[in-house]
Amino acid sequence: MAIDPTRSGIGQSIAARRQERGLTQSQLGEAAGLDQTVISRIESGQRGLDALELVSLSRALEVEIVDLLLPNTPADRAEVLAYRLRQEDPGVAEALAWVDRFIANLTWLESEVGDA
Amino acid sequence: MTASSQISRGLSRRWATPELGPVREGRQRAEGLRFEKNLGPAPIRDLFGFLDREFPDLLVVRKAMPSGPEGALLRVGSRSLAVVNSHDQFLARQRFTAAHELAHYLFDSARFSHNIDATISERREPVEQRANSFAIHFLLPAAAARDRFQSGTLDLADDESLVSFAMEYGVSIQSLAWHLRNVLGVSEADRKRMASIESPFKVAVRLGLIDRVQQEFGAKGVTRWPRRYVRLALKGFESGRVSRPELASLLEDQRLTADLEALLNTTQ
Repeated sequence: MAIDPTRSGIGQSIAARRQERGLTQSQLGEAAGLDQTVISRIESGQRGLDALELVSLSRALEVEIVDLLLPNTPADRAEVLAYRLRQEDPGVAEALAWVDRFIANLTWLESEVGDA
Repeated sequence: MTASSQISRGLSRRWATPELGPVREGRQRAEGLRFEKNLGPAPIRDLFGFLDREFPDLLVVRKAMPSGPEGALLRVGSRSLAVVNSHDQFLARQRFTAAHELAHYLFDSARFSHNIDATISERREPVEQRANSFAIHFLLPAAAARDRFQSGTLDLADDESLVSFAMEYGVSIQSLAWHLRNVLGVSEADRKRMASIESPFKVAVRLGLIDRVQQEFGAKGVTRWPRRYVRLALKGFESGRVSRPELASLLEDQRLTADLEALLNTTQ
């Protein structure tokens, strides 16, 4: 798993997290102090963003900046979490190793079965 | 009543122990949530069912993790996962851990992507003190303790009275003792005496609270997945999109799988 610093990678990540939170591009723009057209261009990879905009967007989406630079599928994010835990405390990471599998299972069920 | 009980009478009705900021904040937030959810002063008997119903975006998992932390709040993308370690933990302790993680979910989740509570009661950071205070006040509202004490139905010098009250609200005797120190202003010496009641479960058995004691012991080592997850797995199984081996793998419990399969077969 590697950081994806490309415009399209970050744009996709922002779009995914915006949709998870049920926000429109206008709502996200308002929360981050950016115009909707800017959000649209960032998400589609047509426009890059500077550090201040990245901070604003991470705050508006209530995620850490690194979350916007990482792959954005749920399973990938479980891996990100596992990676962070391993860095902090290998013992805890081992005890919580099942979390990866649980998130993957839940994601699979949601896609296969639909909403409960 | 035990002969050695030396709890002082005539406790002040005012707060004898000044509350620290995070402790007061935890209490206020717990009281606010109880009011919002219309819980009144009653015990929350099925805490985990309550969390499933009222906080569908919070996935609460109880799982035995022998070398794991007591609890954790993990954020994976938009999902929040509250983990409660059931290994060697009685139900009251698991309830406290779940309420503690609920506090982190409600008030702190924007602050971190994960929070590991290795040993909850030993942590002294303000955010942890607030979560602990929230947990006990959410499980056992101060008004209930005060009313019970003032009406004379809670005798602080009587082990049976204390144990009965703790089990009614599903809290440990240690949590209750801490709570009473803050709510009623009992002395630290009295708190310690209450917290060290020998064999609270023996006292509970003497009181005839057999079912409650069984629940406490039965909770040790359990695995409980979020209702939403189990519902999805069963829905998939019923529709044929999840096979029996897959169901067993998803639930990690052969006996539960067999029971559910039998139940589904008999109701079809």
